[in-house]
Amino acid sequence: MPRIAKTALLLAMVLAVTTAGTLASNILTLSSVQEVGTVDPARATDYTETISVINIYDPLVFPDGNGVVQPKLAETWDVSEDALTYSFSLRQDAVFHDGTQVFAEDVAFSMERMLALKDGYSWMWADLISGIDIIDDYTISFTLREPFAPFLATLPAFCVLNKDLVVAHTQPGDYGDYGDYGVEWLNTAVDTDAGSGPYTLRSWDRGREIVFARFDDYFLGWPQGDKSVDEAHMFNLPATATLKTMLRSGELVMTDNLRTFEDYEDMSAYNGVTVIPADTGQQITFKINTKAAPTDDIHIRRMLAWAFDYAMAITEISPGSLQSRGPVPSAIPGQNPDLFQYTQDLDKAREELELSSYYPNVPTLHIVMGIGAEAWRRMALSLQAALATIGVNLEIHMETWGRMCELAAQPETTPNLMAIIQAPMYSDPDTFLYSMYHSDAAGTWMSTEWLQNDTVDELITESRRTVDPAARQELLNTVQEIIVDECPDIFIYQARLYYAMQNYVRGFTYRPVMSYEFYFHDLWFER
Amino acid sequence: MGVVLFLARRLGYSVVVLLGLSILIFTISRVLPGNPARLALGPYATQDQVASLEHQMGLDKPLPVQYWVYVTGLFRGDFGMSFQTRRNVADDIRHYLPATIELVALSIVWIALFGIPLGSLSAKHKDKWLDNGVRLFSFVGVAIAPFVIALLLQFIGAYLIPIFPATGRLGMMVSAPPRITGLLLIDSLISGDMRAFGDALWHLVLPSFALALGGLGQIARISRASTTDVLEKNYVEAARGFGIPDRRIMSKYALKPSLIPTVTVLGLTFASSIGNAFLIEQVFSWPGLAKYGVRAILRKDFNSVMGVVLVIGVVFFVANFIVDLIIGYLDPRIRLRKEQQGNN
Amino acid sequence: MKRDVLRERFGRNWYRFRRNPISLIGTGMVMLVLLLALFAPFVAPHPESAGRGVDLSSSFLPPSSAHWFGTDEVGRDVLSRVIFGYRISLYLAVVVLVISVPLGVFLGLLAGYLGGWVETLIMRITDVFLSIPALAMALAICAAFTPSIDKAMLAVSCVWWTWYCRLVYGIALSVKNEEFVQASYLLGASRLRILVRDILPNCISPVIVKMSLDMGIVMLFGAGLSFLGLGVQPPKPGLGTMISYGSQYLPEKWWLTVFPSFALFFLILGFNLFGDGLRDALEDS
Repeated sequence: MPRIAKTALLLAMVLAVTTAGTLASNILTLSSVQEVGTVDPARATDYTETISVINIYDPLVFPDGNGVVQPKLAETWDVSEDALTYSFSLRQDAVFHDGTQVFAEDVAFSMERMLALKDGYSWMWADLISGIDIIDDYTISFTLREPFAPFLATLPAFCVLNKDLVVAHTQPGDYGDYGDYGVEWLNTAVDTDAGSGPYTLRSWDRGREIVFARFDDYFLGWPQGDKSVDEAHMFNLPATATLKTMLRSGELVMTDNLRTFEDYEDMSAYNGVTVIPADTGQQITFKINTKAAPTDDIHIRRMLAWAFDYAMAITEISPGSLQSRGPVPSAIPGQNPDLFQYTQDLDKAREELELSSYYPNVPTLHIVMGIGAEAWRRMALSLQAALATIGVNLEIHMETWGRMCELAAQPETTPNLMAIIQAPMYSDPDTFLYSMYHSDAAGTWMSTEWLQNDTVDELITESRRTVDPAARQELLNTVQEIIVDECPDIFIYQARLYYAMQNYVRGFTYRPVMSYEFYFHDLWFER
Repeated sequence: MGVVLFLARRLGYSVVVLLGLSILIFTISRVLPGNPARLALGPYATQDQVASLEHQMGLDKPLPVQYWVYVTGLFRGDFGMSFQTRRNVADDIRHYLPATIELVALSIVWIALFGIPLGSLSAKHKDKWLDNGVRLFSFVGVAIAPFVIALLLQFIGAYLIPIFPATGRLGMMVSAPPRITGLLLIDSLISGDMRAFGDALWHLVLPSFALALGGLGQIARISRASTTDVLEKNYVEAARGFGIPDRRIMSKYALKPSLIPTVTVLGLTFASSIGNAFLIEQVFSWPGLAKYGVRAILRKDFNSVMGVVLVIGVVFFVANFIVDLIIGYLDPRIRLRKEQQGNN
Repeated sequence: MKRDVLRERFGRNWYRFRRNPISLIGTGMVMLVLLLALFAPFVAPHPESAGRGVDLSSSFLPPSSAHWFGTDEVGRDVLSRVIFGYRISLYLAVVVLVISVPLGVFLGLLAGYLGGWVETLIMRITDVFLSIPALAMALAICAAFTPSIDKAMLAVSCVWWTWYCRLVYGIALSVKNEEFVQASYLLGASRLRILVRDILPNCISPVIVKMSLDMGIVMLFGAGLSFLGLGVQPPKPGLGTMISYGSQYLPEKWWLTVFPSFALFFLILGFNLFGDGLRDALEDS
C-alpha cells in the first residue's frame, strides 16, 4: 500500500478512536499515577485500589463531606450500653451484581474473610472484634473486645462481598472449607466481581486501564438518570505533560490530585476546564525523634518549630493550604480549635537554643525524606538556611521509601527529622493520635516521634474507650494540647489539593477519607 | 559437531553465571536489613500481618532451604512471588515482557530497513555528500544518549507537531484485544481488531524509532564498511568489466556477502537494545519490563528483580547464540579461527 | 614487534594523529572537559550550586547573563552544576577503567603467555563473566544494596575487565610466537622479563585505543542508570540525573533538560572523536 494511503488510513483510525467514545454514552475518564494492584476489598490498600473497591463494592456506612458516617448498606444501627456491641439493620433492597440479595450472611462472611486474610485494611479490626453474630437475614452484630470509639469511623473501609459467588470460586488454600477464600479468582478476574456497588468491573488491563460500567439495579438508584456516568475509565497517566494535553483536548475528563500546584494553575486556564480545590486532611509534618540527641531536648525541638518558615510553605510550596494546628487536621471532626500555632521567629528560636543543654555545641541534625519529594526538599533547604543563621547545622538526606521504613523501626536509627505526609485512614482523630503517639504503635514510619509519654498514652487509650462524644472530645482536646506542648513535630500544613475536570462534570464531593472523593455515583454530566 | 559443543558450552556458562547472580542477590537480600514484606503490605500493616505474609512467602525458613525452594522452582518455571503484586513473578514477567519485546523488535525492523540500505548506498557513493552525511549522522547518533533522543523525538513528534501520542501503548478509549501473546500488534491482528492494531502501531512509532536511532548509525557504518569491502573485491571488478549494470551488481553480488557482518551487529544490537529499551520506556511511560524492574529494585522486591535479571540474561544469551549460529554456519573459516582465538 | 620498532612506529603514529582533523577536534573537546572538571570549583560561577547552595527566590529562572544556563527548581545555577557534573562523569569512567583495565591486562598477559592450565582457567572465567550483560549486573547490585552510582559502577567493572583480558590475550598469543621472543627466551630471559619488556609494549596501543573508546560507553551507561533513578542520586549533579529531573518540566522550563543534554553530548562526542582519531592513527596492521 502506498505510504500516503497508509498514513491516511492510520489518521482515519485515530480520528475514529477519539470521536467514537464521546458520542455513545457518558464516559468518565480519570487519570491515575500508579497501577491498580488488586480489586479485592480485603486486600486493597493503595489509593487506586481503594477507588476501584468503593465503586464496585459497598460498605455498611459511607462518609459524607464532613467525614461523618452515613448509612449505606446499613440503614440503622444500635450501640449497646457498654459500647461493646454494634447491631446493624441492613437495607432490604440491596442486590449484588448477579441479582442476589445482600444478606447479613454476606456481611459476616466478608468480615471473617477480612480478618482471616490479614491483609489490606484488616489492621483496623485486628484483635478488636471478638464476635460476629447473624441475628436474622438483615441484622448483624459485631461484638468488640473492648470499647473502641472510632469503630464506626473505620467501617467505610470494610466492604461486603457476595458470599455465594466467592465460595463458588475458591481454590485449594489455607482457610479450611473456604480454601483460598477466592483470592486467586479475584486476583485474576478481569471482568467479574463479587460486589453490590454502583459499578461493575467491565475490564482490567493491569498497568494501563481499569474500566467500570454502571450497574442499573443499584439500590440507591440513579437520580440523574441519563446524565449519570455510564462508564468510568481509570487510566494510568504518570506523565503530566500528556495529562495536560489530554485534558485540554477533552479526552481526559477528570484528573487525580497528585500533580504540582503549577500544573493545576496551568490547567485552570484551559477552555472548558474547572479546577476544584479541597482542604484535605493530609498533614505534612517534619516528625522529630524525641529520643535521639539532640532532639531529645525539648528546647531543641521548640527551636526547630520556631525556625521553620510556615508562611513560605503555605504560599510557595503548597499555595492555599492551611497551616496545621496540632496533629489533627481541621478537615475531620475532633480538632482542638484553641491549639497553639508556631510562626517563624528566629529570635525565639535562638532563645530556645540557648536554653538547651547542648548549647553551644549542638551536634548536626539530620533530616530524611523520600527521593523525589522536591517540594519538601525545598522546605528542608529553607529550614537548613534558617538554622544556619543561628549556628545550627542540618543535613538533608533523600532515601527510598523502603529505607525510610527500615530507619523508622528503631529509635536509634530513626533520624532527628523525617518528612512525612500523613493522610487520615478513617475520619477520626484517633487515626492520627494513636498511630503517631501511642507507645503500642511504635516502630512504623507514622510514629518516628517515639514519644512514649505515659500521660499521652493513657489519654489516648481513654479516648478510644469513651463513647460519649462530649467526654471524648474533652479527652481529645487535652491530649492534643499536651502533644503540641511536647513539640514532637513541626506541624506544617494541611494540604490543599486540586482536582481538574471538564466543566460539564457535576456532583463532585470531597470527602476527607482517602479516595472517597472518587465515588462515580456522585457525578453526572451537564452538557 | 563443533558448533553444537560450542553452543552447549555457552549455554553452560550462562546458566552458571545466572545461578551465581541469583545466589548473590538472594543472599544479600535476605541478609541485609529491610523487610520487603512490610514494604509490600503498606505502612499501616500490623506486625501480625507482616508475619503472616512472611510465612506465606516462606521468609521464615532458613536461608539454604529458601534458596533450594527458589532454585527448584526456577526449573519448574516458578520464579517465586512478587511481594508487590502478590502474583508469581513469572506471571508478572509474562505480563510486562511482551511490551518490551514489541518495542525492541520494531526498532530492529527500523534499523534493518533504514540502516542497511543507507550503508550500502553510502558505500556506493563513497566520499560524496550522501556518504559524508551518513557518516556524520552515525557519529552523532552514537554520541547522543538514548534517553535524550527519546525526549527529543517525544517533544517533536507529540508536542510540537502533535501527530503521535506521547505515552503509553494504547489510547484511553481503545480496549485491548484479547490477550494471546501480549504483543498488541499480533493479538489485534489475530482477533481482527483493526482499530486496536492501528492505535497500537501509532503508539509504537515514536518509542521504537527513538530506540532505533542509536543503532541506526552503527548499522549504517558497518553496512557501509562491509559493502565497501565487497565492492573492492575482484569478482565485482570483473562483473563491472563485463558491463553488468551497477544496480544489478549492488543487489546481486554485493548485498549478500556484505550482510554477514551486518547481521552480526544487528544481533548484538538486539542484545544491547534491551538495556536502551529501559531508558526509552521511562520516557514514554511504556508499561514494559523496565517499569516493572525499576520499581522492583526500589521496593526491594527481590524475586521480581531476579526475574528481570534472568530475563535479560536469557535474551542476551539467545541473541548471542543466534549470532554465533549465523557466523558459525555461514562462514566456517571464521568459526574455526574464532575457536582458536578463544571466541570473539 | 621489537621495542625499537615500536618506538619508531610511535613517532609515525603521532604524526598521523596530529594531522587528522577529527583527532584534533576530539582532543580539543576532551581537553576542555578535563580542564572544566579539574578546575570546577574555580571555573563554575556558582560552585555552591553543586552542593547545598540554594536560593529559592531565584528558582526556575530562564537563561540570562547572570545564569547562562538558567536555574533549577531550587534556584541553583545549571551551568555550575553541569561543570561539576563533568567531574562525576569522568570520575565514573575512571573508576571503571582503573579497576577493569589493569585487572584485564594482567590476566590476559598471564593467560596468553603462560598457557597451559592457567590459560584455560582464566579464559573460562572470562567466558563466564562475558555472559553477563552489564545492565543485569548493575540492576542486581542496585537491588541488593541501595541504588548508588558507586556500587553500580563497581558492578560494571566486574564485567568490563573481560574485554581487556581478551584483547591482551589475543595479542600475547600472537606475539609470543615471534622470533625475537623465542630468541629472548632461549637466551635465558625470565618469563616475567619477556612479559614486561616484549609483550606488554605491543599491548599498549590497542589497550589505549579501547580505553578511549570505552570512556564514552561507560559514561553513557552511568548517565543511563542515573536517568532511571538508580545511579547518581540527587542533589548530586549527575548529568543523567539532571536530565531526568528536568524532563518533568518540559517544555516550559526547557533549559533544565537542554543544557545538561547538550553537555553530555559534547562530552561523549569529544571522547568518541578522540578515540576514533587514536584508532585511525594507531591501528596499522
